[in-house]
Formats: sequence, structure tokens, C-alpha cells
Amino acid sequence: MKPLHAALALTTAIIAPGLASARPVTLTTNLAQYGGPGAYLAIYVTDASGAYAGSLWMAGGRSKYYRHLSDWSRLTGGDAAQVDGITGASVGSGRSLELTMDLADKLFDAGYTLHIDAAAEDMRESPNEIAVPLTTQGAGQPVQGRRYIADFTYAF
Amino acid sequence: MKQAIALLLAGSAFSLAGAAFAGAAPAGAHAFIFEGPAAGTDSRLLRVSGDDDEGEGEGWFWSGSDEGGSDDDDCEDDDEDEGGCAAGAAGNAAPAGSVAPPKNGLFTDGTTPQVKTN
Repeated sequence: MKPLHAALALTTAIIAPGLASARPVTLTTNLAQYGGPGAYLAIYVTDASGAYAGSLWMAGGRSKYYRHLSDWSRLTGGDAAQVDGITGASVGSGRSLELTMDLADKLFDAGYTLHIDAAAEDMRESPNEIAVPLTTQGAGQPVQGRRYIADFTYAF
Repeated sequence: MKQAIALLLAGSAFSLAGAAFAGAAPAGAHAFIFEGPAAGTDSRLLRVSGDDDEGEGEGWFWSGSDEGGSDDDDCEDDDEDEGGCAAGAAGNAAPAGSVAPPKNGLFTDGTTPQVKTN
């Protein structure tokens, strides 16, 4: 019986930190009534030094237009592989995009910043329209956008 | 060029004649009245025509860009409302659900973001 307990304790010790190192986070982006076609949105994270840490979502499927998400494009070299498996449809004027994902705890209260670049057909590019530090205190606090995004909120 | 000069001269003549008429008008008369936009109308300047750098025939104008009119890397029959192009089509990113998210250390491995659009 003791070996069983020991094995259980060991596996718990290994698994528990892994479970605690991520949490479900909901990202809600409400688009403004900008009166144009669906907006492309790149949602990505930079670290405390401003270096690109990774992408969380890409709204818009045609990679040829990613260069108009100019900050994201500059940071990634326009590499579409960065958003493989995390790409969906562009988001229409006045609509909202709600994403729920398991994000690493290390992203919060450690100097990471979430950014959203936006662009739409026949309209101007809007790099870094949202730039919000990822903190536990900032959760649930709407951040205003400039052109395409009415507001953005992340919540646990 | 001659036509342009002729038009310019004709326009100047009309303008000068109008100005002279206004000068001769009795005080209090309003021969030329500039009226602002009527109440409730939009007075902003509207961009009527695209500039010459626009991606011709494509209908896309993105600020500071030149798409060049090529649709070579478009996926066929793309329906954005259905989630974009097929996985790997013509260099496009793979849609969510078709492959695992990138192992960039931001997500828990093996989990896929859930998306809802309203």
C-alpha cells in the first residue's frame, strides 16, 4: 500500500503545479460601428522588454493581408505559422469576438502586455490599437480602442 | 493644354464679373452668400475617389500599401464567416481546430481557444 501512496503523492506533486500554472481566460473584443467590412485583428503578447512573446489569436484568414497588421507583422516577420491553429474569421463592424483559452499564469503580473492590431478593407491600419498590461488587477477592466475596437476586456 | 487655359480664363472671367456685381450691389444686399451646411447635414470632407496607388481591380485599399492586384495566394471560395481559409491553403494560417495551437508557451499544451462571435 505504501508504494501506492508514494506513487500517488509523486504524481500529484508532478501534476499539481502544471494545473496551477494556467488558467482559463476570456478575451472579449467589442468592435465599434466603424461602418466597414470585417476587421482583421492580431492579438499577441510582448514581454517586459517589449519583445514578441507569441500570438493568441488572429481574426482573418488571408495571410496576404497580415502585413497591414503592421506591428504584429514587424514583430513576427509576417510569419503565418505563428497563428496556425489560432486563426478564425474576421470580425464585423459592431460585433464582438469572445475567446476563451487556457493561458499560462506566468503571463500575469510579470510585465507582459497584450496588444491588438486592427485593419479593415478600404480603411486605415490601426497598429497597437489595444495595449493592455496583463495583471490580475486589470482583469475585468474594459480598455477603450481608437478606431475599430470599442473596448477590450480580459477576465478570469 | 490650350483647353485647360481656355477653361481657366473662362472661370476667371465669371469670377471677376461676379465680384464686380457684388461690389456694385447696394449695401445690405447679399449677392454672394456662403451658407454652411444645413443643420443636421454632415460637413466632413468625403473621399470620393481612390488615389492612383490603389490596388486596381481588387477593391482593397489599405493605407500606405500596394497590394499589386494579385490574388494568387487567396484560397478559393473563402468564406470568412466560416472561419477563413482551409488549413495551409496558399500559405494561409491553419484555422483553429484544424491543427494544434502553436507551442509558444502562452497556452496550455493541447488546448484550443474557444471562439464565439456575436
